[in-house]
Amino acid sequence: MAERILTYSEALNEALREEMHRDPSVFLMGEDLCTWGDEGGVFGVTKGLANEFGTERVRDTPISEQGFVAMGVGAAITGMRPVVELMYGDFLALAMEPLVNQAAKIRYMFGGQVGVPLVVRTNLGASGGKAAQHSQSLEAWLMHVPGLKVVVPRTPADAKGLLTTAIRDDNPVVFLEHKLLYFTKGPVPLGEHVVPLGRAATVRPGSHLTIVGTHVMVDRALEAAAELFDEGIDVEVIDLRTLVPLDIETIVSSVERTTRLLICHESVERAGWAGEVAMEVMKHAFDALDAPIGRVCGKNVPVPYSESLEPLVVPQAAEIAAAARALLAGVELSLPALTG
Amino acid sequence: MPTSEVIMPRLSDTMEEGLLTRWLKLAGDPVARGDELAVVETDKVTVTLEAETDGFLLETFVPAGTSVAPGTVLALIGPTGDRGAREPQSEQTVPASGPLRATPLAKKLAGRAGLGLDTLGRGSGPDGRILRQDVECALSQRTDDHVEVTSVQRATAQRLTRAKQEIPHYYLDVDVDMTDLLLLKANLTELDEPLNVSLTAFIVRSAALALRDVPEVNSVWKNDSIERRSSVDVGLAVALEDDWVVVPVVRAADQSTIREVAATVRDLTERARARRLTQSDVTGASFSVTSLGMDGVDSFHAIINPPESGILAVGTISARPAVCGKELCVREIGRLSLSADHRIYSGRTAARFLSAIKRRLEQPLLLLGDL
Amino acid sequence: MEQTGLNMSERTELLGLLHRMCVIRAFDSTLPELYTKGLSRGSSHAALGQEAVAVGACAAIGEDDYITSTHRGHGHAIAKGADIGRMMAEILGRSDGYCRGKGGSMHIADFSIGMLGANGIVGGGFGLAAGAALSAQLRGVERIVLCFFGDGAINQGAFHEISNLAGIWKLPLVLLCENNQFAMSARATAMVSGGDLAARSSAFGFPSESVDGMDVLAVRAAVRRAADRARAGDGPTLIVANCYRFAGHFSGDTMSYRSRDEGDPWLKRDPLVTFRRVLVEQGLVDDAEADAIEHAAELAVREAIEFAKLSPFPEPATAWEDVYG
Repeated sequence: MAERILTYSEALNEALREEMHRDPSVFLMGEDLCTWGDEGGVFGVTKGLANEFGTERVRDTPISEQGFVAMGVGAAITGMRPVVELMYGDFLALAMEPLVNQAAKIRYMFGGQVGVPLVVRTNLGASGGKAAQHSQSLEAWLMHVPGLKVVVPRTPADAKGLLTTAIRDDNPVVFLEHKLLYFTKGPVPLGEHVVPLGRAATVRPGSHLTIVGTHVMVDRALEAAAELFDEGIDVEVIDLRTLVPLDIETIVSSVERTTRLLICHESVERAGWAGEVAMEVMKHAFDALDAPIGRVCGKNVPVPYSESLEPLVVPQAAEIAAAARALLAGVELSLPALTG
Repeated sequence: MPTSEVIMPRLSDTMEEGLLTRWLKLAGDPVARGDELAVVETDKVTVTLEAETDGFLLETFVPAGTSVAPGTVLALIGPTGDRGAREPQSEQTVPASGPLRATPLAKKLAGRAGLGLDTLGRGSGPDGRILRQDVECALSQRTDDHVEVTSVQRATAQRLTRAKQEIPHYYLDVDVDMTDLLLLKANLTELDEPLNVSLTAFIVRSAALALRDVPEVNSVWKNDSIERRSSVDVGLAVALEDDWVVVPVVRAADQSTIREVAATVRDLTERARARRLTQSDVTGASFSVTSLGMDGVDSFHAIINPPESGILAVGTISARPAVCGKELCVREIGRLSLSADHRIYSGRTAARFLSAIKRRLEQPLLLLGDL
Repeated sequence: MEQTGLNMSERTELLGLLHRMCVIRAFDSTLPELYTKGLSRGSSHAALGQEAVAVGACAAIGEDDYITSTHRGHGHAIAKGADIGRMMAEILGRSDGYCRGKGGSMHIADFSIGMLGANGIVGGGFGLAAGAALSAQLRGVERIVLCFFGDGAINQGAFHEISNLAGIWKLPLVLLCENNQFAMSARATAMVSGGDLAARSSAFGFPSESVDGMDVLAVRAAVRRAADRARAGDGPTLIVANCYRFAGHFSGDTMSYRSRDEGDPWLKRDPLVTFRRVLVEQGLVDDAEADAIEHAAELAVREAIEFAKLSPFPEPATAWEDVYG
């Protein structure tokens, strides 16, 4: 299939455009989607869409996160497929009532009478000194609520393919982007591109240690893996891509080969999803483990502002590499023979 | 309060070393007199070492899984903070106590290969954790011509080699008609108070009575002289699951009723298999009985368990053609093979002894008591 | 009592209103009995005294229009045309319930009649109602949304956010506040700053109307006016229907927060009694017929209970169904 190089933001834009063309029930709501900046919202994701589809289907909202997310739920149960944007993931806190008590519950508590085909897009992560109220990674909150799906794309191609799938899904999907990824580039298929939810991607094969992550943690794990390879440590890196549903099979089959697992997330360590992944791996592959499962996560503090502090609380490649070395301490490693 | 040493006890005459299987207390733990400190295994028994004084287990010197000679100091007990005269050994000393650490994968691989993790020593992972590579390394050394043996196995091997080399063994075989014995055995189970007597018990009993008849055989070789025994104590070889053999002793087997002998044999066999024999259960016999009858062996010649004077090996009992009067008939025949120590008695005494056994087995009512 | 335009041509519809009010009264009157007999569990909230609001409001909108409801929602569902057998089965936690036994009293919904669900979260319906209104607007269908809520919910942030959103987008929405005077034990007079609930719409630039919530015809007329505005594209209206919660917050409420006789003036204006009297006075019905209507309502509720009791409990496997679809 033909591909072009697009930014993550452009790939998301393309998914929205294609789905709005395909399905008239798709519409967008959020703050500053239409005219802000270069007419595309804070991160450019909705650029040009208001011009193309009109301000009825691409709606700027007042600053009422609880209200317009709840309206997304109401529209979703009456025949529409709303895609609602929260400008920052931190604002999920303002919208938890409609997400948790309404969207996640309606199908179940009404006995399956209706589904909630709603997508709530927002972004996670620390970047550039946005500090405590604009840098959080709150995905674990959402994973804790049965009825929600949680998607965390990393590459531009996945951004397009997963957003397309999320819009077509008949369940509420919280689609979590990352601020540092919006302007990263990568090949994106032209036209219809669908990536199923619940399927992780092995982005680097390796034999000594599996590192599981999402978003920029995957990039930092890859950076660490390159450094470790020079030391004779061969790391496999898995990008989960969706957290609910979680592709535990891919993780387990990797760990069965490498016998060691390191889990990385930017969200704070305490009660983070690393614990969930670790428990699942213990359940399915305890006997495969040749080392305790490790994790490198955000520190249990709010994200600080200063450029000298922010990198301390968010995992960096060096910290991931150090954790990998510690897991492999004392192990005699041999690199796989070069073939070909 | 002075410190007191915990030493590897001498548990038998033949004990050359004991394996400290496991510490039950850790260095620093408070201990009271009578507390269990460690498990020690010899070639014959497994015993639990108990504290002989109150205090704290100050230090342990021998890691679990190590064999040491009797008398070796294993640990110190004293008031807290007092290390006694002994300084800690170099920093490389492996922590002597604490739970064995191994990864789940290492445990699985070792379990599948039948490899005891306690034979691996300290692993290469953090804090001595045993990793897959440690198990694989151990397994790679377990080849056809090189099987790891435990120190206990090694000690036993040395003892048996010396027995076979030093004792002038000679062998006598005799076929015994067991037909009436089997009939009696069956009849006893049909009494109002059923009596279940194993073949082994009948043989132990017949050997005991024969030892009383022929006191030359009821002797042991000790310090280049013969020590004649006043009581008749018969050893009974019991095979354990892991190809190990222990020889508990049926005491005063000549003085006991067949019911008592049967009960003793059953008890000793069960406790041997549960590895719950004590040191006193396995010492003091002058003669032993062993059987491979259940394993389909016609006959075999056993190695004498020193310092005993001989060992009787029992083969399979099977129906064979025989002459009854002037007729051919079918009888249940079993072969007994006596291994005898020529230093203690000669062939004619051995023959008399064997014949005394045969006579009672073929006229089994004699086994029920002195008739 | 609003009586203008009562005539024989409306007789069937008017008797229908009386019948529905009687069904609601009979239905919610059984709640304590269901609870004490161990047939129901959790919380169920009776709307005794508020029948005229539910019936009058739903009579003013069309079958295709939507409603959203509250934790005190049985009356709304009945007024919108829900099947009381399935409602009762839901309250008894049975497989024939609207939610197959997974919702209970506070989560009765019937999407086939536009009843978008009762809601256990006070103020939870605002966004759903406005979203449904936006959906209708975007789809270009002539549907309006009637959002029931209470005097407690008017203090939720959601009311203000949604009033603003509905105002700027001129959503086809009727915000119907049932002021039954109490949010559990909290009196509206103490909890609503300024005291005038209806005045709140003026800040958002859309009209409001206070109406006697004990008068089914007055409620119907007010909601008709609001519905007409909504259908005409003029946006939302706030209606405050003043009524009185005859019973406690729920079946076990001891009502320690109100005196024994303070409700008497309201009880004298019992919406069923007054509406029946008007119909008799106007010669649209005689006492025997009115008795028959009341009796039929009670009988229907008894039958609903029997239907619910005969319905099996849900299969265990259903606990795992409908989390996702």
